[in-house]
Amino acid sequence: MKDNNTLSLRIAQILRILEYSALTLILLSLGLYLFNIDKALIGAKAGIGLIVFAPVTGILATAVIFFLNRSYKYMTLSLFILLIFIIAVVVSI
Amino acid sequence: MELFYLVITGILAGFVGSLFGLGGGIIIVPALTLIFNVPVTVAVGTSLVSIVAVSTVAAIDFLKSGRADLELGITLAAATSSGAATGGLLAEYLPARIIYIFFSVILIIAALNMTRPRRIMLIDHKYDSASHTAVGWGLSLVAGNVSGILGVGGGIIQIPMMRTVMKVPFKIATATSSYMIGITVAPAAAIYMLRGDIDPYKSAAIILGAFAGSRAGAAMSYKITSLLLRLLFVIIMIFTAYKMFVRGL
Repeated sequence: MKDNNTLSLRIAQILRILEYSALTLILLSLGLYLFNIDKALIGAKAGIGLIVFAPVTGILATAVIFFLNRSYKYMTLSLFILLIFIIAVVVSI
Repeated sequence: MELFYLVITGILAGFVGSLFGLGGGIIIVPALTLIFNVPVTVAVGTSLVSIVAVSTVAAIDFLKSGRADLELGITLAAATSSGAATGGLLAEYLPARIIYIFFSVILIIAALNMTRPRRIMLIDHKYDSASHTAVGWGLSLVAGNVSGILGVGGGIIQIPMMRTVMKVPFKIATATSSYMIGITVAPAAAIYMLRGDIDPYKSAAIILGAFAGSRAGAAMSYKITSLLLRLLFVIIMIFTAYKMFVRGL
């Protein structure tokens, strides 16, 4: 197993990029909303969508990292979580 | 003006959530239902999205510190996310009064949990891997289910369970729980979002506050040990539980 801290840092970097992207979208949408601009709703929904789907990216990154480290048991568990997410989305549509 | 108060609510939820490892839903759901008169299912959905945001921020700090046990987190998250997805689907069919009463019970449990002396919780022992994983997995399924129905992070069940059943040291349990919460509630949040049980503007305002609050909470989580602050929060929680219970009757 590769150094756990290195794995954690990689996942943290991915999550941080998503965090700032979502925050920017939300800030923009709230700014637009205060000026009564219709596009605000699209921005708010996109920001929320990015936040909801951020853990999916985290899980995918975790699965890839576990795969690269030949930890197939944890890779399978990561993919199982991803499958639950997909089922939840499909059932709700 | 309402947006401003929602941002303040988000800051408070994010700060307290990160500080005590609760996830923030304990504050967001009662605040939205009791103060802003939002329907409970919309409050739960909004709370779940905010929890994902709070948890993502907290997870980054805990991952960077290297305190989170990734293997344990992924193992338990498989159970909690299944439970949360089931809870999210089930919540649609539950009467609002059941959700209110259930929430007040969880608030009381969380309040009682917070009255336990912190010095005992901080005693760490040598840790190689968690024990009783199967039992932990089963209890995580229940914790996930509670998250999906009530819009809470599940940390109030997860952290004590990891400590007492799985013998995980407190610091690792808190960090692992924070890492897991986002993964746990994301499927349920997606269900609520696709069902239309999320108010985009209210969520956006709360998330904005929660981002800021959770960063401050994570940074101060090992600096604030005030017993008075904890007791004050316990009193607020018990009062909120009473209000939620009355709303459910």
